[in-house]
Amino acid sequence: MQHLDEGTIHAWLDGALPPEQAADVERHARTCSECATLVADARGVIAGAARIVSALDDVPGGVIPARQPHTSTRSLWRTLRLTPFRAALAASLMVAVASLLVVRNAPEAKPDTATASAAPAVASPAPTRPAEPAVNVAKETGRAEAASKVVDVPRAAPKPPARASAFAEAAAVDSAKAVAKPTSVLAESKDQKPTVGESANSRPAEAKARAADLAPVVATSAPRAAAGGAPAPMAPPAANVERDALRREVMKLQQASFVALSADDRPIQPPGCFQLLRDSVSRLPQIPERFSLELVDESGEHRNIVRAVNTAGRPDSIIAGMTWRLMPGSTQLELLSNAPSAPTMSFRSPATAQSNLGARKAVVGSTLQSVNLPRISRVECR
Amino acid sequence: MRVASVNDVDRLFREYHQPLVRYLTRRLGDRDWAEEVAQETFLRAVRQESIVSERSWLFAVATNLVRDEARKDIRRRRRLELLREQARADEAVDPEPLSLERAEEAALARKALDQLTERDREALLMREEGLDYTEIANALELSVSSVGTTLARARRRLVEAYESLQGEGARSSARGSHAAS
Repeated sequence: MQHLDEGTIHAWLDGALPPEQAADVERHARTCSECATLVADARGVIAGAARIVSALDDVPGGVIPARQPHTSTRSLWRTLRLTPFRAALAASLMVAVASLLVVRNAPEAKPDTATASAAPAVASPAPTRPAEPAVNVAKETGRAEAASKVVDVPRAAPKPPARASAFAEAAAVDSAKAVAKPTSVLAESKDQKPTVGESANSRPAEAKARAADLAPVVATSAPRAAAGGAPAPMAPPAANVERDALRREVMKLQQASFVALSADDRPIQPPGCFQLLRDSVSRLPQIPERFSLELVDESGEHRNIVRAVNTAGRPDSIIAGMTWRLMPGSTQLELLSNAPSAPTMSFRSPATAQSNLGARKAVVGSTLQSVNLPRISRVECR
Repeated sequence: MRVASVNDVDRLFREYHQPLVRYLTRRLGDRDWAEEVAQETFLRAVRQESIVSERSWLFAVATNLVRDEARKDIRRRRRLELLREQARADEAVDPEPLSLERAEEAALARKALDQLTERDREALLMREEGLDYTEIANALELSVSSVGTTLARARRRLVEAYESLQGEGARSSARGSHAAS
């Protein structure tokens, strides 16, 4: 047998050779000292490369500078600058609040009068278009059509104040396009050769893509407004609904969460270091016994991050894919993970079991489970 | 497989989201960006009529999305500018020694990885995510027999580049300390 080439050696060590060929290679490597050296070398290279690649996963602690009080070096424009996410969020919030106000103000009124009185009230604080049409459409045609029109109407919206509307519009257009035509070459290819033909034209900014992600949020706000009023005789385009449902499903799956309570029932006040009080093993391995909750400013966007706290009590690596959420003054902390498998939490502690906590409901992935919630207490960061 | 029902999406997501995001994070060096690309990949999977080899399909689509984005994306440049600004503003902050070491290691790994050709890099990262040779071949449109050679070359070059960068770093720090004394 000829000497082994490097590719064959790697394929053999990776277990990618057919059994007969693998047996040949093994026999040869045993008898040929030159090839045995190459095999040993390849083993080292494979291990070394794997170690280097895994180093890419390290998001080291201390690299992101600690937050400092705002100074005048940061311009107001940058501070207030709308990112696509914020803009789309603002748009959806506006629609939701407007819808809520209208429903509350005129629950029993006739559709025509209710619309006439409620719309100006909603529109007056900020003359943005999405709120008004959302209400009108919801009242007049019911939830389904409202959902589709809310995102359609802002096309005529004025520019600066209606930046959020522009994103909603982009979302609608993008969403409609995506459904109307199978733009992806993938979708058309029969031989499963996955090439991406879509994105070459699909980048009048990432704003569109992000806004598209939020389109379902905008669209679903109106039905809530209409819930107490008119029935829903008309359905939105089926493709839109399907796409939005699937998108929501994907987004929902991205986040699994668990809830922890303040051990002393005082409000949890991040930033700071905290210790998880428990006496059983968590099935959410990303969360260490001690962790810190921090708010960082990255690329103009605030992010809530979780760091592991090392044995010396210092915040160390950022826990990738973890974030936290907390209402101001709340004693209930929610930690969110992007882990694919929704963790099933089952904290059981004699102390907590006997306490008056009882079984509480915690949102774990997409299911509700009765668990004794874990408690956290503040510890000193060094 | 036809990917249409919510159950299918659910399964696909649970099985492949984590490795795909890790692959993309390693490839892009940006977790948020990786999440975005992964989400887009899954959305395309949802719209896809049928998929024969799920894993290689997902990795191929994600890889193509990254390539397309990378050609014209200015985001990384903008991000680098912001980081540079931030670094200037926060020069006084001392990172911990351990963190600094790990940061250096990660930066060296990133630099070394960037020295590989695109195909070598992708093949290597896919392999590290557990894709077998057939899946890598499908995803990168290579012949199965050439995957071993591609991986061998990628691994060797990565290790060599990393060691060379380490050597450079050691030399420059030695020069620095010599000049200081």
